[in-house]
Amino acid sequence: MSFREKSAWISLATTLAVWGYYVVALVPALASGRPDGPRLISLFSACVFLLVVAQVVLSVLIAVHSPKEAQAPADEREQLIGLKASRLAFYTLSALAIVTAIATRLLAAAGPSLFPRDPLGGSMIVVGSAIFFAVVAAELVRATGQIVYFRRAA
Amino acid sequence: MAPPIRNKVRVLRFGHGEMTQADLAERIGMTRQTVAAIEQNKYSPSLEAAFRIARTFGVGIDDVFEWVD
Repeated sequence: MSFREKSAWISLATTLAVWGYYVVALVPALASGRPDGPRLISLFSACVFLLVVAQVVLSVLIAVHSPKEAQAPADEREQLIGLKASRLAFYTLSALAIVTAIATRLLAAAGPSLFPRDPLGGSMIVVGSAIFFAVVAAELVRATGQIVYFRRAA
Repeated sequence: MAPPIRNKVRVLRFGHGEMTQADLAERIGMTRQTVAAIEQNKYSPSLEAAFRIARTFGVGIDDVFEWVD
């Protein structure tokens, strides 16, 4: 497995693990009926920090294992795979952005039912989360696309 | 679908002192995995890379790659 395929696996695994944990950690906030803004911001910041640290540490580990490959620039096939996967991610993000824009009214309406004690804050969190998870979904598609193209050889 | 191009990279490697995929990859500035993909006809290299491969073996590009109708 090439260095860049390993990097794609790291991106996929860490994104799934960290943002999966974030979703699970949001459940208590939903149960309370009131979004705890500072706590959510802390949780979000901690997840971003954890994601960066995990990706850096794992990338360093695979770079130590194959230093020559890690230092070499991506060759033409790896660049092509990166571009193809980024195109898939762009389509995903575009589609989800359009869906989110169309569904904003529905998403905003879901806020008060999820957070009855703070309807406006709830709406903001639901709409903001939908936009954010569109970005996460695009990254998952990018990493998965890279892995699939690497497995297929091109 | 495999591209309609065949190549003799594997044969030429063995004809040049059993050069490894990694050796060839290093000489043409590619990864070993890309050389393997080229040999398996799963990836068609760019014209520049094709010339680099041919020059490594000291042959013309037609001696390495051929179009299959």
